Amino acid sequence: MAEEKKKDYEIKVDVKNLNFYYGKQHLLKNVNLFFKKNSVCTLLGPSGCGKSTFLRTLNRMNDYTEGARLTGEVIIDGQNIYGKSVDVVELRRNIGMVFQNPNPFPKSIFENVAFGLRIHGIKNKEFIVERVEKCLKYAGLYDEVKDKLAKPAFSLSGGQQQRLCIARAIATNPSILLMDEPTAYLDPVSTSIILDLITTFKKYYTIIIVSHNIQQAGRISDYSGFFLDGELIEFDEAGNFFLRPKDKRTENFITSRY
Amino acid sequence: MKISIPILNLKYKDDLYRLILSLFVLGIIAIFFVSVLVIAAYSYPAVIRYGAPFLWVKTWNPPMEIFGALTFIAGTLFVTFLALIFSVPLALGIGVFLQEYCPFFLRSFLTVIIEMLAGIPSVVFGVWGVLTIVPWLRESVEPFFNAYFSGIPFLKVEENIGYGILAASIVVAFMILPIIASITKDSLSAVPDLAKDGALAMGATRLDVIKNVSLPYALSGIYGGIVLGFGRAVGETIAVVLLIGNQAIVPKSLFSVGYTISSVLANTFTFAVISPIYASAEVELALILLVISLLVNIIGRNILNSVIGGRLSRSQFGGG
Amino acid sequence: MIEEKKTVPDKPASKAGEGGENPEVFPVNRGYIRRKKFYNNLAICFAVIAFIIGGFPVFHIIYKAFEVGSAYLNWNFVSTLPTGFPIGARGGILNAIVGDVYLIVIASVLSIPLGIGSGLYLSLFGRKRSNYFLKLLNELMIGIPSVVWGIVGFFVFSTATGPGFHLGFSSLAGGLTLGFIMVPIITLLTEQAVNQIPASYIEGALAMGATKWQATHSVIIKAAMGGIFTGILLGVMNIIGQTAPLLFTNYYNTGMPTGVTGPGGAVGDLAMLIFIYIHEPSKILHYKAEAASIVLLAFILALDLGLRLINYLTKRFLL
Repeated sequence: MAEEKKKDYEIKVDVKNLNFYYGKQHLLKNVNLFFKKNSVCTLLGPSGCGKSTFLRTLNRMNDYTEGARLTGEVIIDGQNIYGKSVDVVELRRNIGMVFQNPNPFPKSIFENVAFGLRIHGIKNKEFIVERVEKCLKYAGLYDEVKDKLAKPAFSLSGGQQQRLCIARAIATNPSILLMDEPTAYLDPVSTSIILDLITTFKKYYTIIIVSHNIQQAGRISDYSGFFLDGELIEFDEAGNFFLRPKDKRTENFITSRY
Repeated sequence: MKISIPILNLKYKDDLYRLILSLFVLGIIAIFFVSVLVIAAYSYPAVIRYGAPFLWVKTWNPPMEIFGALTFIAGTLFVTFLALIFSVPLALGIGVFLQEYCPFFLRSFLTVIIEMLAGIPSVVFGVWGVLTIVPWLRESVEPFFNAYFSGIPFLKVEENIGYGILAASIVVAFMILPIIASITKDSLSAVPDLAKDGALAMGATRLDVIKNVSLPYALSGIYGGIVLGFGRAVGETIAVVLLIGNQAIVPKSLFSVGYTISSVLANTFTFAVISPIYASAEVELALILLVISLLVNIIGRNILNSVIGGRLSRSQFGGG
Repeated sequence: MIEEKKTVPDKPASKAGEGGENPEVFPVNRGYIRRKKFYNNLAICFAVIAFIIGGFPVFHIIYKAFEVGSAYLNWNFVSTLPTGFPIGARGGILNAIVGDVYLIVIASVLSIPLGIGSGLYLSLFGRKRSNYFLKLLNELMIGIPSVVWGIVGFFVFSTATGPGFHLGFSSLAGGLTLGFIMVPIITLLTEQAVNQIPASYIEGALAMGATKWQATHSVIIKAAMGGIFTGILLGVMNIIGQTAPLLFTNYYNTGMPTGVTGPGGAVGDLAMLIFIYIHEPSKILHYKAEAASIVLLAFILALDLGLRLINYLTKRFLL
């Protein structure tokens, strides 16, 4: 990481001196890293190490957490998202998020994807229909659900629900996708479909994934980071990270699971 | 939780323990069924003699032994629904405020205020109504309506005294407010965070989340709360006795005086026991209250058990 | 209203990935966003106003009671019997305070064993189906209007004719009726408290060969103590404000009771005293009703603080 020059036009997200506190706990300790445009980056670490918390600081989801406090900067497209003039609604439109468990809304499949459009004030029906179809196609779900778009989203299988959530997340045309262990609760087939999706998605999106599955991370990532106890131990290109880790702790973590 | 310990002695001890505890349970079952039986048995003569028309006959004349409960039923329903109309929007606002909007450091403190509202006894509410709400209605509200809305029959001020349906409804609304508000809050807090996060992460405002995610999830719980609030309002006695004006007329306007089932019982039951049929008619009034409360609670509790797991919040045990 | 958000012109792609920004444009509707934020703020305003209106009576009731009643509030007021004409114009409310103690003790003697016993049965021996009915039964009892309890109490305890206990208008009749109201509260909270004990506690004891009776002795009662006390205090808080059930079972006594049944068995009661005083066309009695309200509210507040203390201690030390 040190050798690489930071080139401004390549940087999508730049995190500087990020500290995060929850009550008296110090959950993120002075995190510094940056994500390049159109790359897939995985953040690894044992559970409870702060990687999910970190992900949630990137779209300010911790705003509503009781007792949360944050210092430092997160710069997205040249603007500190914790600055005063930031429009959180627009920020979150620009950052899609997919969660650990599939969490469709209690609405129909169509309305789930259309939700993001509706809450941003789009009323043009043709546009919405077109957009929903397109996003479902991107997410590789359209063929499976095209005949039952009006059915409730909960009628889908877990893997389909998760892809629906991905379709939902990209409906508002974000440029960044955050994924919090998106395959943690899915069967191997669904997992493989979603991993394939992620690799094709980087054409358009900057993708940041939290994972604890090292094999999956190795398969899809361009960059990888390792968190331990709230500290970013190592962050590097995937090749270096997985084959030649610089830090002993990273090595232990990777080898113990391989 | 079945234990299979092969020593007879131990099992025997537990059987004895179980037997003793089941006697206590039988005690409670006995209390419930004796109560229902008492009300049913003592109202039986009136039920037989007056039949169904008891519910829609207007005359309540003890000396002539003509009994019809329409006046009281109308008064009860009038007060109850008016109280719900005042109370439900406020309670929803309070529940949403405490669960969704309130700053974290204030939340537990502000919740205490609503719990305190639930703890205030009915009679203290009644006194407050007599000394605060009634003069306010008499001196500010009624003259205002008299001056500007006297043409509208429903808003006509007949006697400018402050006592009446409106005063009773306002106070009852405050009494059922904590029940509905706390159940609304509990139902909202049972909405999975993940579902709310999904919407927030797309750029939804809190209002978008409440409208599209939280309320659809919590709605049945809120209905349960409203049903329980209805049950409380129907049976509310002492505050209503002090405020409603206690005149046996079918209320025609927001400002008329009236009489509810519970207030007529509180005022006249002790005299009524002198004549068996009069007493029986009054017990039949109590039977109406009992049936409504049982129905309403069966419905409300079943809804709540499925939504918030039947967890009891403090505000559900108000002072009577 | 709809304006287009310009996509960033293509920049050199990073070596990590081919391509660039998503070429599609998202029609950002700024007017709508502004409006929806405004509606959100409007909703906040409505919620805050609702809360202020809802919380207002708590403060106003206390304020009003103090404004009107505090002049009469002194040691004499709580330590002397009411005298004068109309009765109560002079003297204090000692009869009501003593009466409340009578009623609380009698109600507790009935309801505490019954409530704790049934609560233990529900959580230790209850089957799913029977538990559903027993819990519903208790919840229904909580829902029965207090005036109906009064009538039940009259026919069971007070009436001089027909079947019943013929206790007359007395503290025993009134207290037992109040006990009926208290029982389901204690039952449900005991059941809830025992069910909240971590299963490992009880199973640990049972696995060692203890009977449920021994487990109750050694583990359950101790761990559920906080919840059980909460139930008892909530029950007392509830009955102390009850007026309607006492109308037909105890009514009121301006002096001291001479027994617990029959003539002279009736006691005074704070809630009833307030109810009677506010009915009298005498200003001084209205003021005294407010002063008595302060005493009643103080009583309830003390119970409330006790509850919160128990809650705190339970969370801190037991679970």
